[in-house]
Amino acid sequence: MKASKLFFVSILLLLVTGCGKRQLNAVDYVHYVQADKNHLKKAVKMQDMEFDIQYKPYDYIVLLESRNDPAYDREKRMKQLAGTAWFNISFRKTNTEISALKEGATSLNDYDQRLNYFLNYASKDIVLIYGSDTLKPVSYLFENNYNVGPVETMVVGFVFPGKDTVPLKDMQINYYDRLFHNGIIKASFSAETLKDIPNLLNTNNKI
Amino acid sequence: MKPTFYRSIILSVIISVLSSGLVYVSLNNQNRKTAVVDAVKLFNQYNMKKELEAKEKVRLEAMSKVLDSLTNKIKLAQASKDDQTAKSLFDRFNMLKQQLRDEYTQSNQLINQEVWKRLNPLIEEFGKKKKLHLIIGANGMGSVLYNDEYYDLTPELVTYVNKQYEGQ
Repeated sequence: MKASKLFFVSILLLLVTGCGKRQLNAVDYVHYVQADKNHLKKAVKMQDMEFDIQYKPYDYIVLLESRNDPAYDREKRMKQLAGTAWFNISFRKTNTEISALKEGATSLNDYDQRLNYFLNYASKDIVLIYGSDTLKPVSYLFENNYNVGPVETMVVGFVFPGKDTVPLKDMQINYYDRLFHNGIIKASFSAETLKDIPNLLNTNNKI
Repeated sequence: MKPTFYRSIILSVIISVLSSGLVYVSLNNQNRKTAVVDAVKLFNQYNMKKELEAKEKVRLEAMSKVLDSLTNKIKLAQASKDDQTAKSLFDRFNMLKQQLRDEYTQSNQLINQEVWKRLNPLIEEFGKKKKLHLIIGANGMGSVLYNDEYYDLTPELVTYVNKQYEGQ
């Protein structure tokens, strides 16, 4: 009788822990989000360029933002982020260590035009397909690295239609690269992948 | 035991290792093969090409509507015998028509360039994954006169490039 009870409890425990989401500490959580194998970061490679599209879950954003801020208000920020989706679209030339904005630019004017495109127009070439809805960005920022490194990044945010506070449907981000003529860059994130993102073990944890 | 006995054992081990190596290499080589891909079909069935064309079509059609509207204005000017206006409109019409032709040509060239820029690394990746020695591009212009279905990997490659394009 005792043995059967023990067996039943063990099976129950196994089911409960098996069905629950994985929990990760802050450092592992960041690694999970950034690892290619978890499909939250997608790479699109061309002959001489590479694009990386990183989906940023709320906990990931909060962990990065709160790194050097002891007074960071996590709860407030989480409320602000609810119902949105955030991505980093990074790009670099693969055949050089200088910025894609500078590489091949024939004059300062040429460089300025490229920079102007990313500062003021590139957001018009980005959409997010969420389920069957096509969303335009509500927030866009070009992280100008002032030629200190080869990677340039566009940070882009969208608001979900309806009452979705977290992404529940398949998402596909599309960027039409009009500047370097690489055509349309797409990255898909399935609802299943998004559902499987682990929880943060201790929300007070920092990286 | 005699040293010749050991020698023969060592020799037979060496021979069996060498022969299995040879069999492995030859089997491996047999698996690597040549494939034929219809480059035109691949290009036309690549989703990005279809989407870029659809985007350009909207822009070019808008330009074409301006031409239609000018044609109507020219007809009206001609009907009211306003030759000066008709001539000025006709000059504008010709200029826009040429501009539309140039835009169309440029747009086709750009789509061509953008699509091959994306397809080339994917074809290489596909070839490596399939362990192919050679991919021959058949394009209906006489470079491949005949191939049976065994060598034709066009549908498989089309599926592969489109899956990669959709970012899955």
